[in-house]
Amino acid sequence: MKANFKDRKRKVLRAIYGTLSFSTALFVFQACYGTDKDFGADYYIKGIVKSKTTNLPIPGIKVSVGNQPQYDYTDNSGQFRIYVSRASEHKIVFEDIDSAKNGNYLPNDTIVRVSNDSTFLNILLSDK
Amino acid sequence: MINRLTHFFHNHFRANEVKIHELSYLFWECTQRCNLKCLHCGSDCIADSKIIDMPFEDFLQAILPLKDLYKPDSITVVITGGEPLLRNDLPQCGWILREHGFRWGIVTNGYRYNSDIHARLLAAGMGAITLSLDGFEESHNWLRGNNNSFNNALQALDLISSSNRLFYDVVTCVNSRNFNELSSFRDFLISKNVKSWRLFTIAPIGRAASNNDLQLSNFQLKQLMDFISLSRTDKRIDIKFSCESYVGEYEKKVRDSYFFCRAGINIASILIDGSISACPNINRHFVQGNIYHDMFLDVWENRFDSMRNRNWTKTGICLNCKDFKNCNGGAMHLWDEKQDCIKTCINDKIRKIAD
Ligand code: SF4
Ligand code: SF4
Repeated sequence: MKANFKDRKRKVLRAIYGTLSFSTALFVFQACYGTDKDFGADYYIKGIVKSKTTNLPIPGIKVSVGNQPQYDYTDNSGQFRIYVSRASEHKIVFEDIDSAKNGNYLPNDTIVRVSNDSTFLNILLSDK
Repeated sequence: MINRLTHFFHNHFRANEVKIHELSYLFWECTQRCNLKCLHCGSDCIADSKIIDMPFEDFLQAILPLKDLYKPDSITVVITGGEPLLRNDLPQCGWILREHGFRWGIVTNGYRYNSDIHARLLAAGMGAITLSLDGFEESHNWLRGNNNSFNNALQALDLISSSNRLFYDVVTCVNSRNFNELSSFRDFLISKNVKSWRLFTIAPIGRAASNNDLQLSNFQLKQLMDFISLSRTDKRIDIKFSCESYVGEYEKKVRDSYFFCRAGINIASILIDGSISACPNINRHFVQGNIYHDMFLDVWENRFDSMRNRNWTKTGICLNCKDFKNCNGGAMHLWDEKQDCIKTCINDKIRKIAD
């Protein structure tokens, strides 16, 4: 939608003509070879994973979402980010799967309650 | 009478949309490489295309100024090709698009779509996907030129349909080989939990121009319209005909709204060489500029005359067509550089049966 739309009248006309032509999907169109439009029912979770002992970030931790396929790995600064589908809450699981490469940590998990915007998680993992 | 009135208002609606020309759908032809050899391919892709993939940064820089005029989440970037999954940086591209507020989706043949890429694309905020499936195994593999393509696409379908996040649909190119299996294929898709199915015929452009097996007879076209309109009444699946043509008496019976080719009105594209156009299947004669020497936003706002004013299409078979007012010269992708006659018209073909 144009943010500073010059001619409000045209938008009003759009609604009127759209209604009068009884078209239920005037704004939901696809080009032959295109996808549906994305109406965006998802939620953004980001955060950082650190060692409980040293408070230093841990890279290579697998961050996955309860019953969804999405996952991410923490980067060198321990950060991760992930889009999940919009549900009332999500279980986010943190696992050290690279054996001793970046230290040995016990798994952890947390429940994220979905709010309006996004969530930032600070996660601490204990040594094995 | 009611039909004439609703058409009347829709024509005003269309004229108003032209004036607003609000961009909501932006194709990015990110690669011309492809892993299949589809008989009908409109983009004439080749497996080892010599044209290098467009760097994502070039695309991004071209579209960022859109944020001055649009709420970016009102624009869906549709990543297409070639086969976009041949790019290894797709999740990264998606992340950056979402960081800037744009929505995004992909059009794929599903050949490379597996659980790993599914998880990575979802995590990167992909919201829409279209998967090509052209009938049962034999028909699909014939059209796609690969004996494993059906099984791989089916694996993709299982993953995609299991996601409650994605807006997705299956698209099928209807041709003389899969025509007789449409009804059982519809039931198969329903059994696979597919909610939305779009059918299109194969336009006589690209490789398809020289293959008669791909085209439907006039009678089959009419049967196809009957099949779609009948299937829409039982509501088990949201089946529709694509935007490709005005279909006369079948208008609104085969889709939710009247025919409206929105190329250049709500749809733009950035093609592999930086060309700025509308749908990627439109003849390159209609290119409006190039991101490497024009500002995309400026081109969108100030050019696209040939798509926003279609009076020039009143020529050839459209010249004396009694439906011109409602159709407005048909699909932009069916015109070529000569601009003297649309390449095909389904309405015209269906009318010929009735006569
Ligand atoms: S050019 Fe073709 S694919 Fe694009 S909107 Fe028009 S009819 Fe649809
Ligand atoms: S002949 Fe032209 S104007 Fe008439 S229905 Fe076909 S494409 Fe549209």
